[in-house]
Amino acid sequence: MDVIKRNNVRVLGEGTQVLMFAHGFGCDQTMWRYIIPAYEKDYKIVLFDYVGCGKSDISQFTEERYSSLHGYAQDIIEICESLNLKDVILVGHSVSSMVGMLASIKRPDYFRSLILVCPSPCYINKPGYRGGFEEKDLEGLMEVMDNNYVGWASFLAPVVMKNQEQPGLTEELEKSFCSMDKEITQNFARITFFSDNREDLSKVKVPSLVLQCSEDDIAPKEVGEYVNDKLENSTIYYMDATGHCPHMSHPEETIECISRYLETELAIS
Amino acid sequence: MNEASTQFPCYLFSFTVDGYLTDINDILLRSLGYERDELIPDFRFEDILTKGSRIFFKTHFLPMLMMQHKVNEMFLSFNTKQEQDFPVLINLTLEEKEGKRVIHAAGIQIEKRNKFEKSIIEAKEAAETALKENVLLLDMKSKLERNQDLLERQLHDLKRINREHVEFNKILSHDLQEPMRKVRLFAGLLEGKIDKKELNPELQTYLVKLLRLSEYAHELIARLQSFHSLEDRMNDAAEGDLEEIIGAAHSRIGNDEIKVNLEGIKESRVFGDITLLTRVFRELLANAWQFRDPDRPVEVEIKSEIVTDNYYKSLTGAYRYIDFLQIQFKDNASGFPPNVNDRIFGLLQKFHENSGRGLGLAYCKKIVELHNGRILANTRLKQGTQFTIILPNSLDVKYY
Repeated sequence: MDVIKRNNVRVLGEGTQVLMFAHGFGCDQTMWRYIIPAYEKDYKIVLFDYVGCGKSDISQFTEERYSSLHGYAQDIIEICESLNLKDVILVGHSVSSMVGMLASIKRPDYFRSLILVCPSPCYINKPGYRGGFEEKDLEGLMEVMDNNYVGWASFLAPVVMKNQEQPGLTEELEKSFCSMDKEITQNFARITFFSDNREDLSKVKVPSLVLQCSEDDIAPKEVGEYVNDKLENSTIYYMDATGHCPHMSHPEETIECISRYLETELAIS
Repeated sequence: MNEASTQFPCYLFSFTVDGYLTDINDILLRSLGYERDELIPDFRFEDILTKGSRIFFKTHFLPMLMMQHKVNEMFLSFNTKQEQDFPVLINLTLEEKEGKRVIHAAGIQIEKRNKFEKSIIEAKEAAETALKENVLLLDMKSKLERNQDLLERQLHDLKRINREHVEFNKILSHDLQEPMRKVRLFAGLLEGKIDKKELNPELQTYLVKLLRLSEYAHELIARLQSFHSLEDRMNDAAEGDLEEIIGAAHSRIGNDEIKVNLEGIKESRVFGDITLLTRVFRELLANAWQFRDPDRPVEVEIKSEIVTDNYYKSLTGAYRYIDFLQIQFKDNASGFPPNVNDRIFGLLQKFHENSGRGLGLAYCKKIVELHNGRILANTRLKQGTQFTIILPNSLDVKYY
């Protein structure tokens, strides 16, 4: 199995300390483009797409493996294995905060620290916990997705053809969207928004940073604070940046926060 | 916005990168049921969306907008003041002007088209499900045939290995042990018959060596046989308490100088042959003692955690995530040389001058694997070794 090709892994940078970036739901590794240049000189940067996202090998997607976030965590572990990475600092956005966390629980020896950008361990409201969403809101999400994929050639093509080569089409879709396949994206959405990882927070052993945006209603302040509270060795930085994708909308502040953590908490200069 | 554009039969509005609406035309206000000053400047674009649309906009379209500065043909559901939904098709552009970023939007309501599309989606989904089930069934059928074939070959191999195993055990217990017993017997007879005073000292040393070596070989064979036939002597799976098991192992060793820290253990239940699992900890504790660093007291730290992992370790491409009990056993002994990590579990492997028979860690590995678990070691010379034991976390454990 060629993990590098499967996950479209790219390694760049001139340093030795590994900084691995994991994209969130709905996007791929290109979402880190405004952050990467700040670390290229001093770090070894590892970028990848989860199977089913970006330019990964979509034929490697199986419902069995990716039926929970553990399958995605397995992607990260296998990338570390095949590149022989140790002491990785993992920067994970949104759902990747949880995926990275699960990977670090399984293989603590691979990780040095986790930087969690807009994390949420559970999006749905539960007794005594406010995740921010009700199940019916998430059904609405599925419907919006259905509608956004209408009219695409891939959508109208039979499902069995989706693994075949369609170079022209693929290229077009990449330009217009980060995720190519509706089934896979909806599967990812389902396991992202319906999973409950609150119990796992206390199992994380590596030091971590929570980057909390203002006015983020996907991962609100209370949820970020909950994460910071339950993690054993965690710091929280409150950002001025609004929304759920600070690394895209407010890259300067995001870089400033990551660098501050690396320098002050991990003592890397 | 000039007078004409506020009356165009389409939705026109602008908002900041933070989402706050800065401009909105009359047609959209009317559809939403708001007055202009209700929305500007306190409402964000996402506040007029349904929650599902909000997530999709923020996770899919906003990143695209930031990267490409435009998004075309985006479908979203708007939510009116009266909590009614209606579908809208929108194009967005991101404009940067004098260091400020503004997003301009133009949309149209697509209620009718949306209804047609919905029925197309439903029909397509029904067709797709039928097709997929069919493809899935055919795929499963061929997979099953392949697996059956594989199973047949593996069973065949297993039978052969089992036969060899029985034969080998017989060789160990009889064919090898018998001549060894006779060597010892005759050497003993020889020793008794010879007048020690008359025997030259060199020959006497030889005789002593002969006796000692044959004794050692006899014992080694007996231990190997016991190791080899371990699986035939297993007890039924039972439930035990990790702390109690470690306590039992510690008191079996009877060594108070080993300090065992159990603070990281969280009420862990252990499932399997409790006697054998106790032995694992006995061996690990003995190991920590035997290879202790003379410069510091022997300390062992044991932690446990429930982790979720793939049940299938031998089959590739098969996934079922179940709970395992992961135990971290960390000693501060002198560690093993670098790059021997897996070999320390090998049979009769010795890495220290004062090594024992090289069976202790081999037992650990065998016992853990018989429980369908795994044991890993991460060792640093002079610093100690961290053993990780992963065991299935249920009484439904099957021995292997």
